[in-house]
Amino acid sequence: MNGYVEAGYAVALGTLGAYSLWLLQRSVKLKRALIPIKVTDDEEANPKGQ
Amino acid sequence: MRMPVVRTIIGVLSLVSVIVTVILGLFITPPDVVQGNLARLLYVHPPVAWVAYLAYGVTSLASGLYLWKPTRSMRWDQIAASSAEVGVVFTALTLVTGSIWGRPAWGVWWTWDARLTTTAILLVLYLGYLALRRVQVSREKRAKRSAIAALIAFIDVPIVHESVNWWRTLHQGATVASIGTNSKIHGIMAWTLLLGFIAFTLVYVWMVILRYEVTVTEDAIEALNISAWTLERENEIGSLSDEIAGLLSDNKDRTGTSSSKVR
Amino acid sequence: MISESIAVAIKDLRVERRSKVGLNQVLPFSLVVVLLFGFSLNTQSRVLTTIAPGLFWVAITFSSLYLISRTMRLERENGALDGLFLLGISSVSIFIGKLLALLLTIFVLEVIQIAAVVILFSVHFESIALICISTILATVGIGTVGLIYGSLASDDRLGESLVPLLVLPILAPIIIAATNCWSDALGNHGGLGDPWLVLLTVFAIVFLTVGVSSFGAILED
Repeated sequence: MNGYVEAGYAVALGTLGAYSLWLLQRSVKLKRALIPIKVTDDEEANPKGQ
Repeated sequence: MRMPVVRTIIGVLSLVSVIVTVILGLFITPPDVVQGNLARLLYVHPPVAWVAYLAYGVTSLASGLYLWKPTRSMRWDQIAASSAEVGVVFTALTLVTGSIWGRPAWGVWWTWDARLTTTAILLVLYLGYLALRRVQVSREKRAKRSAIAALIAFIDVPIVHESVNWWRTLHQGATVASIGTNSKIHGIMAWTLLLGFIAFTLVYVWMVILRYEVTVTEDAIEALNISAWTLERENEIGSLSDEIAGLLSDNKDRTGTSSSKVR
Repeated sequence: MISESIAVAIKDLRVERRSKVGLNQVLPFSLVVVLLFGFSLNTQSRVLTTIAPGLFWVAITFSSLYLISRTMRLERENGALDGLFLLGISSVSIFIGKLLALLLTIFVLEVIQIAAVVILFSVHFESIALICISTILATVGIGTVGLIYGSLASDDRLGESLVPLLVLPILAPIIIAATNCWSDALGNHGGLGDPWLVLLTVFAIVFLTVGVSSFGAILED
């Protein structure tokens, strides 16, 4: 082989890998941001969460 | 709950098929008679290019479905956006892998060939599309405008291709032999190429599903933020009006008492 | 509808007459661009004459972008567009009117620019008819695409700086075709049967149709 072939494969796999890792990381982060937090039922005692 | 399962299955399938393609392409297949080892790049480059065009096809279709009133749904807009972003990644890859192949094959990194030039313009067109999506407007407005932009780009691509084609052929004739016609394709080479197409298409499907989920979640968070903000605002206004009402009633009481005093 | 379009066009031209942005900023800009091309390229050789068509069209495209941003900014500021809609003027009339005014401004710019190119680059036209027709058709294409994208991205400042990125790739066929028309007209092998004229015509018709049919949808949301 002559270096060009390896470079081509490396660029293709590297870019796709990096993009998918970035997507996965974003997806995990966003899912965490959306986990509903359990709210204790003291709304009546303390309205508007103050 | 079914979507993540499907996504994971496709993800595993695409990973496996890409690995098999790479092993076949780099080590198992024999070197090409004419191009030698360089032909190994052809198991990657055409599939990647095909996915780029597929992605833009999906974007255009989804944009059209969004603009058509009976099928209008935010979902199409989100699919169009996801597919365009993945398409931009694959277009960039198409240009880079093509360039790496072109350097030893033609002696230059770049040539003003019709296909190359069209692909480069395609990349810039959809980079513009993605940038347009970042302009701050309401979601409906953004969806409609980006759908129109995607369709205009779709209309423009054949005109670009035709003009670039004429431009090159009228002046110097086609210098670049089209890929793959100058050599007879060996059995296992053909199968590897076919596997390459399947593998990268699967990668595309997996990426679009994941990107779509991310977009949906982002939009949901944005909507939550907006509703939280409106709630806060309403509470503020509510407490303000309470205060004003309190002041007014105070005043009334005072005037009431004063008037009663006068009486 | 025609009278409405003309009214919109006259409004835009009156704004231009009073502000003189085109005259005082865009015209000198395009002339400076042509001068810079002269400085940056070898003025001794015949190269300048042969690449003059390309230089002309690049300069015109950049100057037009300037005018396009300007014409859409006029409508955005002070909610002027809502005023036009309140007057009951249809979006198609607004589109055609603004396009007419924009094209007229670019034509004036082009006439002066052509004179500059002829004098500075010692260009000699063999086919005046081809030059005129190709220039008109290409300008219609540039103006139409510019107006469509100007309105697509006209909502805030971020959008305005985006217009060149959106418009230039779309205009690639226009630049190629117009430059080649001009080369043919300079090189004495052009006539009205020039194949590039067909491409310019198709482009202009396609994007006029797109503009007329989508301008309303873009603005009235």
